[in-house]
Amino acid sequence: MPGSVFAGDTAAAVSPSDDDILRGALWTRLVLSKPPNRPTVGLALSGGGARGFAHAGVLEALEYAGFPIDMVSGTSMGAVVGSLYAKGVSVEDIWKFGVDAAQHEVARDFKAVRLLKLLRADKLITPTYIERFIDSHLGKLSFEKLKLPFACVAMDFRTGEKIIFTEGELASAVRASVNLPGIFAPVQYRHRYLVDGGVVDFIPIDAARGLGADWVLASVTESLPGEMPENVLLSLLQVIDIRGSMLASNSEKDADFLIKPVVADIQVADFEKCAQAGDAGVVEASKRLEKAEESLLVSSIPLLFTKP
Amino acid sequence: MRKTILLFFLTFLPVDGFCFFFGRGADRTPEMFEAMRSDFEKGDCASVVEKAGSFLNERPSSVLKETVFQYMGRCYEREGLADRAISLYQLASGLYPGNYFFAARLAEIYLDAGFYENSITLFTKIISVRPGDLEANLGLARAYARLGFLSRAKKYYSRAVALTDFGDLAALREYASLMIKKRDWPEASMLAEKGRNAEPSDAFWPRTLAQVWAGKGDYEQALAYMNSAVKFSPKSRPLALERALYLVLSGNTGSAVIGADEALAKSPSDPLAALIKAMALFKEGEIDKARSYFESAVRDGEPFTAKIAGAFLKITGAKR
Repeated sequence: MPGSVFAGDTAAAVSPSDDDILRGALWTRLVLSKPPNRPTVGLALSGGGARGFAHAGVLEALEYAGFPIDMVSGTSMGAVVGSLYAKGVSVEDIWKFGVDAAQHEVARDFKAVRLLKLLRADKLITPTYIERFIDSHLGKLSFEKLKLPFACVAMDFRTGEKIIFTEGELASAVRASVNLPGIFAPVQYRHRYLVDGGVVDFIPIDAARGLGADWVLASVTESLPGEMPENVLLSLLQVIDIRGSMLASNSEKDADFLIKPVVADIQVADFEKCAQAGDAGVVEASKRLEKAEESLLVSSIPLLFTKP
Repeated sequence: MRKTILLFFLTFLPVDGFCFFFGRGADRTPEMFEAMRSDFEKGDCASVVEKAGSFLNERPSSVLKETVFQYMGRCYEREGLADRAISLYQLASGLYPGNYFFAARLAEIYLDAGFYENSITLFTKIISVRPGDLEANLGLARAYARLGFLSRAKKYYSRAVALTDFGDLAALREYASLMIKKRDWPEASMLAEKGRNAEPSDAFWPRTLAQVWAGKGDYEQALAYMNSAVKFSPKSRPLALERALYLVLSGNTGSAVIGADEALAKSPSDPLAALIKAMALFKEGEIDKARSYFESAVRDGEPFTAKIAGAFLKITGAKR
């Protein structure tokens, strides 16, 4: 039922639809509400290496909208971005970390990998710069000290079990979650040998539900490898990536809402393209935001109106 | 005999061929240019485009050609021939790199066509040379806003409105709406006050202030501004219903029902009015009375309106 807001005015410039009016008013109310007057909202961040930095862009768009986030879960790069957010680091600073990781530190761990060196050494390498980055930004923090409940996923390399961390020392858990198998040595923690959780749970939706989320928004970096990898490292990364995508396609349906930034042209190890991935996150999340708001509002209606 | 043949040949040689052998005749391009300028000013784009080919064949001076390219480009745009305008502006940008008209028009076309990244590249280039270019700042702000980069958009909207000392009211409205979307209440409030000073009887500005106060959770203030907005546009259905929604959300269900009933009196199947009345009745505990209005909103409402009404119907069904 169209009609100008300013019927009769020459300056009529805005003509919102009924849906626009309703969404705007209800969303404003929802943003100001706290559980139990609305569902608890979980954010699940997928893996994806450098592509995973798109989550920072998704966070930026969600923040503009005042989207409530009550708990966060992450796998691999999603664990890095998610832990920083759960710690209370501003989205602006997470962007800066991404640029730093791209230009100065994390990329070096990947650039340092040489096939001959790997074969000659006959042992897995330690990602010095990734460890340094995680230690410097998460330090001695524990899960319990974070501002938001947080979970991250890793895999036990000996048993293939999915391990969901929700308490204890944070840095080791995040370090394990982002630890690429086959290249980097497994992280020894709590009597387990831990590697990247993306191999068993690319989108940790059930981890977010385990933290108590009633409604889960998943940010998923899609993989569409169209190129033949150039070396052993990229081949391995691509296999992990394809495996992650297969897992993702199974678990996506468990999310209440999905945002899939278009980052398929960015390789897992393209850390110099973190900003590009972040931009893709902003663009895709902005496109989908109204629908995400509507989805959460429909799920919130009983709580928004039935509780005092 | 040979001289006779040559004389015969030269007599019937076409003009172009004559010029090829004996050089150019009198320069006709200033005259042709004047005719095209006149056509352009009269809005006769068909004539401009028709004359352009022969004009350019005359190898006009660079200055005249540059201006004619501008006429042609604008004419292509007016005729809806965006692909030709793009090709021409791309060519002209290469030929006249110091003339930012071509880059600016190209950027605007990209912006209108949804090629935001392309327009951002061009607007950014223009602004790097001419930071005070109003259109480029506005264009860049719009491109960033449409992609979702609200902080970047704010930077350029802010600069654009400052360049006109808040005098460009259309830009001010766009900027204020963006700040509402960004939930930047201090900036939105400041812009709305500027707008209200410039257009004291326009409903847009009190409505913007109502959105600011609702965003801060102060429905009392929001309703005060909404009342002003309705006063300035008393016939506006959307404003009246938005006010009624604020009444429901602030707990003033009795007044919300009155507001919804006014809209339903004009249009008994008004789905948003039906939903608002139903929500107010629901809050008052009048579940059975609310049901028929929820059903009406499900039946006639826009997709989201119908979904919300449907969600309520589920609850009312359970409560029966």
